[in-house]
Amino acid sequence: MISLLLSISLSQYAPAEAQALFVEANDAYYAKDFSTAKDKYSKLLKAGLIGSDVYFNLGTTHLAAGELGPAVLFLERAKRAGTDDDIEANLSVAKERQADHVVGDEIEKPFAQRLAAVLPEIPVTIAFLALWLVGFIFVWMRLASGRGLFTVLAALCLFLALGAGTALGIQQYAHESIVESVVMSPSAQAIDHPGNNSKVLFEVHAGLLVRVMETYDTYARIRLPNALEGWVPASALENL
Amino acid sequence: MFATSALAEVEFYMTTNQDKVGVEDTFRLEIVVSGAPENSRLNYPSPDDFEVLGRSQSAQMQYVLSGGTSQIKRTEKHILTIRASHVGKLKIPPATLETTGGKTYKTESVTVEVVKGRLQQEPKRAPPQQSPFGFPPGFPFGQLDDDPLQDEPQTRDDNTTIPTTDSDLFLRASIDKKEAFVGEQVVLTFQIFSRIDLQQVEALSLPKLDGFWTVDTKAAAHLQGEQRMVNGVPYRVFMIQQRTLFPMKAGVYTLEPAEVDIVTGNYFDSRKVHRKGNALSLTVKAIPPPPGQNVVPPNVLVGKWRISREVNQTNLSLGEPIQMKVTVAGQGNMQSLPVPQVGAPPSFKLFDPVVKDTGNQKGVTGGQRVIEYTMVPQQTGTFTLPALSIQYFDPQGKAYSESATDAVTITVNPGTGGANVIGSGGANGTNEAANVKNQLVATGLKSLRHTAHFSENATSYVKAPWFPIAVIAPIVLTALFALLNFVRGLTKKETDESRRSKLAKESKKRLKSAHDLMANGKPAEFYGEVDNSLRQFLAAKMGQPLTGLTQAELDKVLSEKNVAADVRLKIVRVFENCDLGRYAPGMGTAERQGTLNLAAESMEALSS
Repeated sequence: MISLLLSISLSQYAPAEAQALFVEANDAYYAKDFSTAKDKYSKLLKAGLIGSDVYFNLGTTHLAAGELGPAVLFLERAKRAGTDDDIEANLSVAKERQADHVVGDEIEKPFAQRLAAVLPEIPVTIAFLALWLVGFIFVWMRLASGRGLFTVLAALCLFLALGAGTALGIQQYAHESIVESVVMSPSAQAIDHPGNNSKVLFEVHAGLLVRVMETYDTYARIRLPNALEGWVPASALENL
Repeated sequence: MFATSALAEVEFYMTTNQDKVGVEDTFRLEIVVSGAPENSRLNYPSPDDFEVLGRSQSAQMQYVLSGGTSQIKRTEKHILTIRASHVGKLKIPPATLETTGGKTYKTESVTVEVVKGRLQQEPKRAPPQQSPFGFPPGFPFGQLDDDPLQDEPQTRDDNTTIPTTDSDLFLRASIDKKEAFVGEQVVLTFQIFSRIDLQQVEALSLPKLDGFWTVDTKAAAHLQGEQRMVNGVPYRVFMIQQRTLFPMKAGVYTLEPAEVDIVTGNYFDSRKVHRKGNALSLTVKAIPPPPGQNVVPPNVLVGKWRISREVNQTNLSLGEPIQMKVTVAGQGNMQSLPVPQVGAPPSFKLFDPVVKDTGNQKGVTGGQRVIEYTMVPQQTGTFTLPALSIQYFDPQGKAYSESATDAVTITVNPGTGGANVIGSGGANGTNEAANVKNQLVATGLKSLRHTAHFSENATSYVKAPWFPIAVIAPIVLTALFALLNFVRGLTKKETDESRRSKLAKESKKRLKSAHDLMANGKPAEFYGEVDNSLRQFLAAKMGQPLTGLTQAELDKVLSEKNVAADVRLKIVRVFENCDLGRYAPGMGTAERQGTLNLAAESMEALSS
């Protein structure tokens, strides 16, 4: 909350101005002036005023304008910031319009990624810190009073803090090591290796969600949900 | 130009209808022979500078009364259609007439000035005849002046030029218009002009038609020619293929010449010849936007279209089907015709329509599309089928037009047994169909969020600089706290107070061990432990040893230390019970527990 207030106070918009800019962008959207709507939503993001609502509206505007790449990018970011049915519905629309059809069974996402998707980072972080501090407070009380009850309470809190800390660590590992991207270019050819005499394996199109396994020079090795892999220009991708 | 023979009885002369022609023009050379003896032989001129394209002949008999005698005079007129082969002042040599008596008549030669190009005007096209209306019986548009199929394309063969070479047999491509709008039909026709016998046409090679959507309109199954005069020259014209083109983009298109192999002659003497046709140019213009708009609507129809609707009944009972026939007819690309949405009420069960296309039989690309809908009302009431309309761009009028039908009102009366809804079994019944009224289908994108809840930046708490401090600080503080306690324990001087406090704590511990002894069934040890622990506690609290005191002395000491009377009484009772328990066994468990409780209560009272 403090950092939120700090970000709003440090941004170029007062809270009321930010809300007004958001409404203006909505009005432009309903007037089918998608360009103006996108500009105004983007101004909010540049000012650090982010959130699921801004991401959702910006992604929906791109979708209405037929720009699948940024549409999927911002809708996925909205999903990360706070999923709901509307986001899933518009993502489904974008998927229907997407040119690529990934054939075959989808491989299961890594455990760390699935856990990170299930557990919200901020509540887990707060829970860890609270349990950690309270546990040590009980330790201090035990040292001060010598009463055995504090020993039990301290052990319980520190045990729970250990679990929350483990979940937090897995989340950080997922965020650091598992990079997901969206294809932004209208189309990009995937080659078998980033070098001379490379062979074109397949082609991906705007709006496809891929996982970036590694990058080399100006290329990124991507993995599709069905485990199909290839190297595409990194400039054709945008990380979530 | 005019030239005559010198004889009075025989009139023999030669004229042309033009004294100045273009090298591409044809003109007529007339040779008139009048009053010639029978069996005279006429020799046509054989000019080197001209090509004779056709010959014809007519004769006229004249009955002449002269000096009381009658005489029949025969006049023959020979017409040659000729064309100059090059530019200049060219001379047509004289014709000759040889009689049976050995006499020869001769006309004067005729001089014709030949210039480049063409001087003759194109013959004007006759206005098109109104053709019978081509719709099937029952089609509602019967007015001839409103018939979109009425205007047949006129192939532009009027200006067909006879090639300078192979004039006896040549291939001609023609289009019915030189300018068209995008999507407007253009009829491309390939014809063979021949003055010799033909057997068959082989291997017609068409030009590339990139940029057009094409439809085969006609293709000759077998050669069937028609007589036609081309610049005064009679030809047999064979239509071998006709295609309708629909330009897809604006621009100027050049259609390259077609080529064809033709077998000429007869069965016994045939010959295959190759002919190359002519190139064509077509200018395609973009469709203008509708009035008041800046852009052309997508998928705009081009041509002339009419829409009509027939409904078999408008007043019916529940459960009876409604047959509705929608007909869209006209000229243009039928493939671009949409299937109209009938806008049936939600309470009507609408079956998939049956679409039937009928091509036009009159050489015009177009025809009619009949869409038959079957609807079954599911509930009683009065319903309106909205008007149907179709908008199109008319390239001839160069304007947008719209054809529309009227709305139709359908009255559905209760069915058998007075049922108001299908399947209800009566007016009071319920069914699922009756509930289907307003179909709300979730389509399209979800609505925007109208209020923004801004959240903090995506920077993780874990990556914040204070996070490791918050994690490590409790550990460090705990270590410091423990260290401090340890140091304090080492350096602290044991005072009387602390010593007594320590002793009091030990006494309480001993009381606990007494409880264990009681549980283990050792009464003597139990009482001894209770007595010792209480004495040790009291000594610690009172600050003086209490060993060896009688109970009265003990009470006195306690009283001096301001111990309450009830507490003193409890203490005395504990010691009495301990004495009895140790030295007069037989006290029960209840007494032991009571003694233990009294000792504990006494300690608590003195501790507080």
